[in-house]
Amino acid sequence: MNDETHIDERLRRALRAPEPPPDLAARILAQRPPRKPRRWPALAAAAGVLLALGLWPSPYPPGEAFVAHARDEARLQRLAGAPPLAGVELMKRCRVAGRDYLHLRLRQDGQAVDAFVGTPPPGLMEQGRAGDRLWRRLDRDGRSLVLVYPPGLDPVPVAERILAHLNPSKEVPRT
Amino acid sequence: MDAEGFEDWVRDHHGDLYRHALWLVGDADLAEELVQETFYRAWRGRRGLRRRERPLPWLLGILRRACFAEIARRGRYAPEAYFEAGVPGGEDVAHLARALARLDPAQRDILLLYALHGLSYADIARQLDIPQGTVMSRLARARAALREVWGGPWEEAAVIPFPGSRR
Repeated sequence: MNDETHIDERLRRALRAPEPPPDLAARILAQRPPRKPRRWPALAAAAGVLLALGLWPSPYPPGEAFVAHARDEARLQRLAGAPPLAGVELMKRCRVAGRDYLHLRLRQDGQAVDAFVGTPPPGLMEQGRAGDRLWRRLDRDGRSLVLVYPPGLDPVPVAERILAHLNPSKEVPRT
Repeated sequence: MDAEGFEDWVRDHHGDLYRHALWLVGDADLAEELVQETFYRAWRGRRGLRRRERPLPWLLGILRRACFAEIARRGRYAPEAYFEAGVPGGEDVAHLARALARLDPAQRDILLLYALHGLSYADIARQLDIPQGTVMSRLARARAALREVWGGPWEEAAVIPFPGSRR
């Protein structure tokens, strides 16, 4: 082995020395949502029947009802809770408002101390994060649950608990 | 991309992505968050990937954008506390950390693409969206900068064979 190869290998070895946390891969994989059954073909067929019969229950055509609702609710809604807020309730509100994003800041015991629903303005995520960690989780419908939590708290069970309480009968176990 | 394929991505690449983020931003907790963020975005955007059999360059692109956004926001690089607290590799690693801390982030980045991931010039050129000749000249400058700051008892390690260099 010549000098160049030796030194190149030495740099490579030094760069590869730090090991990732042993549970990092598990936490990354836990970010994914559980499998979602494909219901849209049946829903589309049902909507088609309602439209054809003139029975569509909204002044908006299919699809636009959601958009119009989301536009009406477009401004960022801050749910700053003086008392600790339950994540389950907040995620329900997020769904009701047709938003795709919920940001919760957690206490050491896993309860939320404040929350933001909707698309965050620039810089919001970085506020009040001194020493806190950040972890995301997608729910089955593609909405993001973002947890900001203190060191020592495992965010995965908290997220599982929040999402499991949303609609337990429809949760599909991950394989 | 199915769930099993994504799990393979995570298993195969999370270590090297973590190392890239760690050497680039110099903060272990932040590096962990950035890798999580990378795979989160990859999962959401997985249908847009053309070459699924070779996801590393794509994942690196996501990670590097996130890293540079954090670097721009934080404006500092202070890896000493992590690297001097008993990382495997000992003094060699700690010394390299001190040396890399004195390079600018773009120089650390191109060194990592070359030396950590072993990417070819062509892959680095695609990653940085620059011509291959520019890759070679930037690598030479990064190597020269590393040689300049990697002195002391590790003088011999300053001679790193990056292309375009003159010995």
